[in-house]
Formats: sequence, structure tokens, C-alpha cells
Amino acid sequence: MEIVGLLIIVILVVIIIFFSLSFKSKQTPTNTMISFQDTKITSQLGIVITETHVACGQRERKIRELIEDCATLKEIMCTGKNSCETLNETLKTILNITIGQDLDYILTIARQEQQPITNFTTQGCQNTRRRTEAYTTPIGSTFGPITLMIRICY
Amino acid sequence: MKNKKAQIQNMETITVVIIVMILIVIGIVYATNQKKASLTEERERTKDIEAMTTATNVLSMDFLKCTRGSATRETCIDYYKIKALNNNVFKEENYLHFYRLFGESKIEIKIIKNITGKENENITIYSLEDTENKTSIIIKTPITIEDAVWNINYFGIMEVTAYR
Repeated sequence: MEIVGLLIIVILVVIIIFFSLSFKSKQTPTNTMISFQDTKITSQLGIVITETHVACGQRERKIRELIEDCATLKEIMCTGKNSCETLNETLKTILNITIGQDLDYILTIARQEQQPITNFTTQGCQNTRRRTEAYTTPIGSTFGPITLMIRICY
Repeated sequence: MKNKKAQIQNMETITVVIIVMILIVIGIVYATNQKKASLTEERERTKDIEAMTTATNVLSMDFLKCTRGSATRETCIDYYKIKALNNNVFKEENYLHFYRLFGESKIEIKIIKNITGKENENITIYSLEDTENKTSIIIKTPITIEDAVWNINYFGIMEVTAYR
């Protein structure tokens, strides 16, 4: 009769092992898709942003022009707002539409080693311990290089 | 007395055989479930790859890209070329070509015009919805939409919905 008790224990152990194995295998989702999507968005976003036109008074100006002006002379005025204010408003709209709902990000535009002219950081990116991936778009200007940097936090 | 002992031994043998059979059945059920799960996972991965290929295919179509001289720009699509494609994609002579490229998916371009003081616009380039498979995955890609007539670049988002 002892052998029956031993076998029951063996069955229980086997069942527990099977369950734990199947639970473990279900917990590993494929994240190829997520990383493809994130890379696609962030690698192209900087280039697309700089090439986009924005309404500025009676005419349209490229965001690149607004960035250059905001980082240097601050001469451009768009319906009562200077280039920095117009730039910030436009970037806010674009970021909300594209990565705002799904990702945590930092977007900064800075001229050389100086203080950034604009900085958008979501809550999830404030923790510096999180793994990040950065994409930079160089913007040339007569006053020196300006860099637009997008960093995604995972 | 001997007869009773033999009976108990027989009972033990039968119990052991039954328990071993139960173990085998559990093993078979587990193996089948694992196989089923891996097949579903494989199918989902294939669909993911198809969606990624479709998204890449749209951006690699030279006839949609913005051109400056003989050079094409990778992240830019011509506004009028998308409109023309939208009108021609489901014509009988073109259908098979685009079905091979895009399969069962929906490709929509959202043009954000409100930052230029105009109304936003959505253009569906291709749409072939799979009614049987309910789940879908969406890949978003930012692109520049160039209006060469007015010389304006709009901010656009290409959304590829692939059905699983």
C-alpha cells in the first residue's frame, strides 16, 4: 500500500511542475513588434518634425526655422507669439498625437553645450534608472549646431 | 490467507498501472497544450512580421515618395500621389498587385493640418478588412506629407492595421 501513497505524491509533484512550466511559458510575450514600432516612431520623428510647416502669421514656416530662431535671435513673431512659444505649442500638439499616449519620452532641443531651448519630459522618464534609447537629429545653423534629441524610456 | 495476500498484490499492481496511465494522459494533455500554444504564438509572430513588412512596403514605394530632381526622400510622401493611389488601388487591373503587397490590412494616413491653420485630413490608401479575425495590431509611423503645389510640408502619421 505504501507504493500507492508514493505514486500519489509523484503525481502531485508532476502536476505542479507542469502547471508552473505552462504558466512560465505564457508569461513571455513577443516584444519584437513593440520595439519595431518604438524604433520606427522615434528614429523618424525628429526628421519629420523639423521638415513640417507651421502657420506663422500670414505665411507658413518650417519648424526647423523656428528652432534656429528660438536658439539664436528670437526675431520671428507668429500672431503675437515668438518663435519659442510657437515651437513649444506645436511640439506639444505633435507629441500628444504621436508618442504621448503610448510611450514615456524626453524631447530636448539644445544649442551645443548650452541649456536646452525646449524640454518635454514625461513622468516615466524622470526616473534615471530606467533603460533609455536616444535618437538625435542635427539641425545646422549659422550660429553653430543645434540638436534635437528624443529619448524613449522603457 | 495466501489468497488474500495475492488479492492485495493484484490490487496494488492495478493501482500502479492506473496511476502510470494517469501520468501518461497528463503528459499527453500537457504536450498538446504546449504545441497548441506554440502554434498560436508562431501564427501571431508571422502576422506581426507581415504587419511590419506592410508598413515597410508602403514607405519603400518609390512612386509615392517626394522627389527633388532625381532624388527621393525616405520619410516623405507626396500628397497628390497618395490621393491618386487611393483612387486607383481597387481597380481590377491593380488589385492583385496591391493585395500581394498589403494583404488583409488597412493603411490610413492622418494628415495633421491644424498646426498650419487648416482642418486635419484622413486618407485611406488601402483597406481590406478581415471579418473573421477580430484582433488587429496597429503600427504608427510619422511621415512628412509634401504638398508640392503650395510648397507646404504637413505632419502625417501612417497607421497600418494588420488583422490577426
